[in-house]
Amino acid sequence: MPSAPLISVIDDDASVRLAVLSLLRSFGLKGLAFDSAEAFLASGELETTNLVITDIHMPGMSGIDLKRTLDARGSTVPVIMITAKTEAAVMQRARACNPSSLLKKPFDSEEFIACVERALAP
Amino acid sequence: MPEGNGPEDVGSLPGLLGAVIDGSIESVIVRDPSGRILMWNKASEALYGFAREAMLGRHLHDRLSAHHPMTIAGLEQHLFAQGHWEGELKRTTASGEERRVEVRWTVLRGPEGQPTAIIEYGRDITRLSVIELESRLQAHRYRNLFQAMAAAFWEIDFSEVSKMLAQLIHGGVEDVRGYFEAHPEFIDATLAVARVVDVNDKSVALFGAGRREDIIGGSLVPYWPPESRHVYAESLLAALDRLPHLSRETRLTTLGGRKIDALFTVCWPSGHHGRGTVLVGIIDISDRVAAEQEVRASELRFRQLFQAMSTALFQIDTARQRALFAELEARGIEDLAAYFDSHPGFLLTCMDAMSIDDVNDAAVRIMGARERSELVGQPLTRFWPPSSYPVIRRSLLSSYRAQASFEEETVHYRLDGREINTLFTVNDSPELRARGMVLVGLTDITEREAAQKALRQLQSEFAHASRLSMLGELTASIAHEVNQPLAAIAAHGAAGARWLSRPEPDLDELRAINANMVSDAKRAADIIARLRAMASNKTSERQRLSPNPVIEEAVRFLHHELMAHEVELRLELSDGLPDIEADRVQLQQIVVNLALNAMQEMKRARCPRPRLKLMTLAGDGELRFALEDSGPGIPPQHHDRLFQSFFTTKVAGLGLGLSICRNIIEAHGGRIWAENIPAGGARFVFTLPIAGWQGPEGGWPHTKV
Repeated sequence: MPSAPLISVIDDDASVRLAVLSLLRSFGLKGLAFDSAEAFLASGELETTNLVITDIHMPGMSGIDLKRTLDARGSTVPVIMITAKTEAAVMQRARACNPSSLLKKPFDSEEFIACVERALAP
Repeated sequence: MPEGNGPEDVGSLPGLLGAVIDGSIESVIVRDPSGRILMWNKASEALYGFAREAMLGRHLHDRLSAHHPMTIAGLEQHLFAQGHWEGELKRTTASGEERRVEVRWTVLRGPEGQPTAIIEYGRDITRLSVIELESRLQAHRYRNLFQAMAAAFWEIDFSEVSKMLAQLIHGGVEDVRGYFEAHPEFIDATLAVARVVDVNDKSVALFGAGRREDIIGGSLVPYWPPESRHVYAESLLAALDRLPHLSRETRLTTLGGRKIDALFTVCWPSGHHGRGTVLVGIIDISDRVAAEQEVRASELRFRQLFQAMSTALFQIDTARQRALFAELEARGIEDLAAYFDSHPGFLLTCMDAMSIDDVNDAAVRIMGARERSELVGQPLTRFWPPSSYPVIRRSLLSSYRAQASFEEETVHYRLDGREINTLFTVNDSPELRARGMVLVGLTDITEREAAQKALRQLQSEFAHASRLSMLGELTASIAHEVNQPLAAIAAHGAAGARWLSRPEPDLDELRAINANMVSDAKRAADIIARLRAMASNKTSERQRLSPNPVIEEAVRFLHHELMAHEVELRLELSDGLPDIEADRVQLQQIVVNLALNAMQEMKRARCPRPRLKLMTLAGDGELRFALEDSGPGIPPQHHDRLFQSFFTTKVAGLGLGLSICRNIIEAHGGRIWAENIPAGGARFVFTLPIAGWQGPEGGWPHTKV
């Protein structure tokens, strides 16, 4: 890898945010944490981000809204969605916007890393 | 009476009849309707001194210079209207002497009803002794009475009937009653030969439609319909048995064909058994019979209702007890309570004087009887345990003051001697009182108390069910809440494992991960504990709480719903609030319930920008919590019922949420109410008292005790 890829982690739940960063770090990956989609978009990190890992349910802009916004802006950055919601309708709406992966909380760490590596693969 | 002779015969006076009339000691004069004399007998010649030849064809009243306090023309008018008149006249004889004459006039009519002649019987009463005069006066009074009575009186010539009966007996008939039953035509024949001699005005009005002569001289046939002839037969039997009189209710017919219910009384004047004339009295009781039928019908309705009621009902005969009271009243005793006190045995005397007249099925059941007969006729004493005597004493005092109802809880004996708790209700209305009875209703309170207990149980279960249903709505939210720390723990765990597998583990990183895992696990455990507390139906657990964190925690439960309904929540929690003493789970339930209700109402009203505002603030000795929404507000017609059980505007709602909220708040010593915000939306407010604080610094700054 020419340089360590930058991963943006967006979740309004502080413990989950912290845990995901910790897990990425244990695999030698660098993450940046945001507590909302709006904060991420406003940060200007979109240009440098290689992967977005976002929660779906957040106050204000949801993970799905964020993916649509990125699509609308012509961004090709891969998006991994994680959700604590289990309703089929929500999962369907999430899948419909074509994320790189969709994971349910609590997720399996091995599976999570596999998804991350697949998304980062050239 | 002229025996059926037509007026056309009178003028010529054929042989035998002429001799009979001439032989009469009474003056008999027949005149035509204009007053001209058609017949003049010997007694008339003797009385007035005029020969027959001198009188025939002359005007009667002019010839005899008749006088009466009323004008003669007035008497004649009355005569033609009534068909009959009798009274005293002053007349002048051939020698110029004035005589007082008692006359009876009867109009004879032709086939079309036109008057054809007037027959007069006359008696000189000028020379009657004082005693005779007095007896005439008595007789006159009797006549007046006879005429004035409301009853119809008939004088009947029964001689032909007597002959028929005598022939029957002589013919060897022994079972006269049987003969009458077998030969109704015999009864018909006796009716046909009985002659009406006289009737009073009431009879004329009742049977003859105002025409006396239609009745007099006729038979009894028109008045006795076939269905009533057995009563007539019975009167004949009574005559044969020499009974002085007989009274029966029967049905008679008027000349106009109308049926009337009548009280028929026949009496045979003494010494005239089976012979001569009889006197019959008839009283029209049609109205009374109709009234009695109505009474019977309403009595029947009462009986049916009495039996059908599910309440145990007792009809008590109070006639003897009322007599006891009447006796006291007659003695001027007003203070019955004092009388009871000074006469300890009187209460039992009263109770013994009351007995059961009737009971319904429910009463049979409540008293543990097998059938009514075990209760009917029993005195009340055996159903009242001595411990309940004060109750029956109060009910008697109430009755003595003529109060119409009495109700009290007491204890009664069943037939088997077991005691039951009862609600004892007395209906002592004037109508019942007039019939010497009261109605007593007994309700088994043992059953009622069991029912109330079951109801309380049911309510508690409803409350539990409601909590569970609320929980159901929250399950998704809770799952979300629990999954967050679980996800964090799992991720930390995996990260920790990675770090540990390195040749030189980063201990700082591992320490941080470990601390986070502990904190996340604790958070998950807290959520589970809250969940368990909510689901269990345990009683309230009060503890000292700081209000704002409790509210913030409750809001966490709402997170998911707020997101799903896109509701904007604003918290306005005042700083430095004093503690409250409350059940934390219940308090959170209330906040959650109020917020869920508000969200659902806003969604239902398709509120464009749903907003919720939660506020806490300290007031006078209490904390105030308010939840405002931007919904349609509370419709005025729902306002009063909002907190009632089972009131709901939701299709599938139980209507217990707000009622449970109120129960909880009130159990905490607070109040809850709802109001509309003038600018729009609804506001639910509840208060909780500030926890009493015994510390050295004294009360809270916000508290005014």
